[in-house]
Amino acid sequence: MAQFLIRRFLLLIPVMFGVTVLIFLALHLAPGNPAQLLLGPMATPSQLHAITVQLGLNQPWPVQYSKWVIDLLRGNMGQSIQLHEAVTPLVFAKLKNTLILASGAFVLSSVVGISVGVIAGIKENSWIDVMANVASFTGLSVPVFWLGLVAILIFGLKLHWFPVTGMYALGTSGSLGQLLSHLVLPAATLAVAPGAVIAQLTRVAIIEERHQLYVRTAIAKGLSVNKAAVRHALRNAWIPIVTTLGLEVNYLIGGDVLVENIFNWPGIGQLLVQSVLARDYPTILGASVVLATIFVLVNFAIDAVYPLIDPRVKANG
Amino acid sequence: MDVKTKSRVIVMATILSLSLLAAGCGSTSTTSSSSPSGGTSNGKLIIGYEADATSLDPGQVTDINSGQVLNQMYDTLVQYNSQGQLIPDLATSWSSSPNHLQYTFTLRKGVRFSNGDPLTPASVVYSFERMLNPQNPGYKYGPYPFGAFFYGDISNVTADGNDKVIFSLKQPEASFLQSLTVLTGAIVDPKVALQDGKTFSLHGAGTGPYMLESWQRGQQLVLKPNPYYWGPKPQLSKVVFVPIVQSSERATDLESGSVNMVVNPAPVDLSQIRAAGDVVQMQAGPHIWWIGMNLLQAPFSSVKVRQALNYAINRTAITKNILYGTGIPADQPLSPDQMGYNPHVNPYHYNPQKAKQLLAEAGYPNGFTATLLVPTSGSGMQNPVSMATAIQGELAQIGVKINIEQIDWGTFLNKIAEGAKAANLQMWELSWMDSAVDPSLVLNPLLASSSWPPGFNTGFYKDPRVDALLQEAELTPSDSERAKLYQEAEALINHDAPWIFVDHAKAVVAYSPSVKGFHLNPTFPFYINLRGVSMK
Repeated sequence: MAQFLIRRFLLLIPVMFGVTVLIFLALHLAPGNPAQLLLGPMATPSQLHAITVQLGLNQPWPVQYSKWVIDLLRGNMGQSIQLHEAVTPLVFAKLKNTLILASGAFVLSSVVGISVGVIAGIKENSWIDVMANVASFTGLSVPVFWLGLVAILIFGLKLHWFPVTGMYALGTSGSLGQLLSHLVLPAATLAVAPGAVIAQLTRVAIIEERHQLYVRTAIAKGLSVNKAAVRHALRNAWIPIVTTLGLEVNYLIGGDVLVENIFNWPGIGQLLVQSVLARDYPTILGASVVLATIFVLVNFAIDAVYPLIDPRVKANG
Repeated sequence: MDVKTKSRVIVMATILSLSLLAAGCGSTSTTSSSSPSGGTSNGKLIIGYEADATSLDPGQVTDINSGQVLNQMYDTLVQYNSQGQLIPDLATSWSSSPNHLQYTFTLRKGVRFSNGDPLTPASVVYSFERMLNPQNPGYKYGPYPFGAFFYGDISNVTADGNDKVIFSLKQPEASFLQSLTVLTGAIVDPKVALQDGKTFSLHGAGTGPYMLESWQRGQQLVLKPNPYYWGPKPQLSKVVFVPIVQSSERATDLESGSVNMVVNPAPVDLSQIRAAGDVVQMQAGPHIWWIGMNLLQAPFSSVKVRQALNYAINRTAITKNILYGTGIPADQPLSPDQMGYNPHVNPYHYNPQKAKQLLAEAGYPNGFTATLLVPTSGSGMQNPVSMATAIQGELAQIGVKINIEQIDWGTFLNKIAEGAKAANLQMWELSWMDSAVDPSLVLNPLLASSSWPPGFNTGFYKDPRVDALLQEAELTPSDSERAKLYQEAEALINHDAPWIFVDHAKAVVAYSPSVKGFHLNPTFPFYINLRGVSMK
């Protein structure tokens, strides 16, 4: 097992190297010049040249890349071109906000998705199952920006139940209560699609397990159908569900850009979009590397957890 | 793996999520309301603006959003009143030498920066020298992008006694005083600026009515009253700037009560804002939105073609239907409130028949095909894609087929900076906001032949008569004489039609009725000014 984990972990090094090279190349091949955006339309050519040299953008990209990687290994992601601030604390402050939103959505989508899936699986082909199916297909089909706007309209503007912008009441330093009230709408919006996936997957897993011989034996021995489903079928259904939950973490962290923008949630997605528009290379690189690291670590965690759940993976791994 | 282990995995995942949730909660204490309608009175004004400020150092700033904040934190030597006249700000009086190469300013007495440091002539010297002189200790904390643009003619700045500052110029510059009104020339506290170095941009230190309390990037920037402010005591206990990038969301947030004031809500939302009982103020300012053309190439080298294109545009329909009244039709580069605006030029009223006739006279009876470069967004560009589409439709009426090429603002700026020839451009959208309000800072950089690329005269316009008028106006100290010269230049430019003139943008600010005493300055309305503003 340890060997398996070490081998998987070592694989992360070339993966991360490839990711950084790709991001760096993509940035430098894209049109647009950060110096031009920093200086604005009134920049003279000599000013542009001076800033380009100052930012080191006149050097060949392998040189720029090497310097950046060496700094990165020391924990220094450089200085934001547009925001005049060190990138490392900036990115981690935004990441914290994204993780709060993603965590809220993760809990919500898992709890609701698994519950709905279990109930639908137990009540296969009943009207409850049909309703759950319709709801989850709808959840998968509706665009997240539309959902967000409808949520703002109904729960923010009409009912005044929840605030519609930011993380805390504006002008305050924030409290847990404020955070939770601000979290509800964006987290719920973000949770709909993964919640629907989890519900569908749980339903199928429960149905499959319910038809297994050991469950039927348990029922024949006198256990109720519901108890057999929860005690036996759900236990084995965890394998695909846990895998899906891991993948959903990646979706939630990477896919919340739209939600952050709709609800003005100050997360890393919003920072990334603004940095791309400003060609703020150090911030784009810093935010991308942090996100990429999370993705590969989550995938590693899934790989690590999977053999714990299904020993056959270990044998083949 | 046994059942316990499997359950543990799930429990751990949930705990991890919850712990992240709790870890992110930050500080816990506050007495403020957490209701959705969080906009309270209590002297706290919450403003939704288009994007977060980029820096609190006025020398570094090039964007309008940072200017919204800096305008509350800093003062300049002179300022405009609502009639467009220069009035004292940090300088109470000024005079110039007979040859107009030296300007002497007397500083206001008793002015202090927000930390209590006194304003001295050395503060003024530092504020300008750091942008212009590489030997100045503050120079290395730049870049100062607009320094050379506005103050490139300054040879040196010196202190004279305890309350005077002398600016020496390399050559006479009639717009020198006007250029001192822009935020780039705001006076910073040299002590703090040098002490903070690169991080000065995160705090700032000025003499304005408000000072920084806290700044969470992308979340909120909070200002509090400057206890040492020299003018009338600020009446707001806090000013909170909240970046709300989506224009439609700014209207929603105003309606929900999350914010008390919004800058530039989506024009389409204005009627809804008014219907909800909120106040909307609009004011056209020194701004021009135009379509540039490569004058070195046919068909745009023909003045008749350019005039035809100007006749083919229904500006009234564009400002009404695309911009919902947030612009006024333009027929020349200067806006109506600027010195030199000429009310007697050809207004190019919408006339497709006349346009077709001119095209035929120019040798294009069946029109032509051209590519229009359009940014998807951009500072001062209003609604660039919709406007391009409308113009494309109107030009099609006279046989001119326009292919729209959309690109993002960053790439767009690069292409424009190269000039039409190098970037192989035929037509492009562009806008210009004149923060110093003076006509020379529109006409000289954009239309003088000396500004051909790599200058900003991207389309290579050249008229020796216009060049001569602009040069003469630059050396003429009398405002009334300058105005006449610029009016003459405007008439020539209007006739030559180097651009398709489209509109002058209006600044738009919407706010709840609880905000009192707010007015847009008609001279330069694009920065909000909170001096005298209070909450009911």
